[in-house]
Amino acid sequence: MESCNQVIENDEGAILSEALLTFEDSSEVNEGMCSCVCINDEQCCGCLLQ
Amino acid sequence: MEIGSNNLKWNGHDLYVVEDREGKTEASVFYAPTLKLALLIKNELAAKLWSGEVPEIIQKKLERQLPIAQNPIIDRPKAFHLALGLTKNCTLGCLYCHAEADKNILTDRRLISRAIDYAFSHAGDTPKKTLTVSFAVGGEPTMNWELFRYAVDRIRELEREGANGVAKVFLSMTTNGYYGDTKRHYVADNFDTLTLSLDGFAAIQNLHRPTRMGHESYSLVAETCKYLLKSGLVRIGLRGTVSKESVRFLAEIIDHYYEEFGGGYAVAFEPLIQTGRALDNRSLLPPTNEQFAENYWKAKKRGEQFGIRVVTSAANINRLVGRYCGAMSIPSFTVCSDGQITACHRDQDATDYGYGSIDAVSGNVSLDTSRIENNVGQTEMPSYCDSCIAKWHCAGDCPDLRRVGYSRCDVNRFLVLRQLEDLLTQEKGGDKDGELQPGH
Repeated sequence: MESCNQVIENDEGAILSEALLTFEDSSEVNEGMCSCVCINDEQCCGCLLQ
Repeated sequence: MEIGSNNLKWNGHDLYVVEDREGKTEASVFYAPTLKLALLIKNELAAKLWSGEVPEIIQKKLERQLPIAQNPIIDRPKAFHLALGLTKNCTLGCLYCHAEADKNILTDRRLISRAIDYAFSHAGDTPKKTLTVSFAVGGEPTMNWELFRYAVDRIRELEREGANGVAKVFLSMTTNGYYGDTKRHYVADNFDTLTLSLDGFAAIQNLHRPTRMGHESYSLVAETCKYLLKSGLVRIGLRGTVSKESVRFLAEIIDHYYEEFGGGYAVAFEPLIQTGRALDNRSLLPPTNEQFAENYWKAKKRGEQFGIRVVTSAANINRLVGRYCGAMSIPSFTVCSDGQITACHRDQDATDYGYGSIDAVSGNVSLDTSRIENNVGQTEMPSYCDSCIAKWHCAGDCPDLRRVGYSRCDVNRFLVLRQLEDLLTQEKGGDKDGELQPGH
């Protein structure tokens, strides 16, 4: 996730800060194996491969 | 560590506000994942959201984000993945081995050859004409070196020939690294990505992962790690299983790795799950969710200082996903030693997710579409995820974890929230490991 983070002083002070987020492109993820936090996209990260 | 969050809907998008149950702070986190927005708001504003009202100042921000909304990934991946189980044996005797890999069972070479041919014939039909291959079911892939080399050489040969229009092959494996330079050299030369199992510094590694004879394994595995990193030929990740014994040392483990190996790689920490050999071995127990989450977070922050990307599965805030597991939903063509086909790399006997078989002599493949669909169905999110702030980041977590009755929902919520708080409380916020980049 990428973000640009800025402190907002308006809104009567009700909003203290804001982060705009960027997520990975879905077409790239679809070529990989797992949705989870893999070490790499080309194989199952092995949640149970202990 | 219990984290409560309220879920609202706005124009079909999920909105979450996290409750500050203890009243320790004056601010709450508001999160609209598919609208790519996180806010730190005063508790008075949060209270309105808790009552079901979306205040105008928040609505304005949501409306601004609508044109750039991002849908979570729900479609099944259009890829072909081959996983080859070459053996049920191993050089190590890890106390928690999920596969209980100590059986002198080897896969028939003809079966491997037939499976590779089948994979190439289907991978050529995928949109990117790529084939991903891993050696991840059963025992240590390099245990039978001759069979291992046969499989890898055959795959690379077919790739060079462009067999069935396959343009690129990605080779990966999870390996114990307990071998010398000859094997290291070959692995570095032929693999794109490697997951090297290493649980920490010597005392931890040797406690968790002794050799089959009960000797220490750290020295040789650490040398393998250095060799592979120095080669620069293969992308490396270290995977550490975390026990009750090791959990308090996670940050120190990162210190140690930096001293030993430098930076520039990923370290994945996963909690020990009581499955396989760990069911019988009561001397090594899992950490609590709270222990894992808090110590993992310390290790992650330590990694940021050293250029080591510390990760754990499930709590991934870099992606919006509607299905957790690609292996189950593609499905992965995972070939077990007896020719059965399963979707999950842990399922070495195809007992839980088996959906077909391949014949070593004829090469005939028989697939059960109803079982495939049943596996895919298990990747769908449980209804209890709907009110959870981690919903679009873990998508219900690993289906096999749910099957064995293990829940780390607390960990996932804690880590998603911590990462959001991190962004929102740093003026020029963002991690230094490439996951969370500072903006402007």
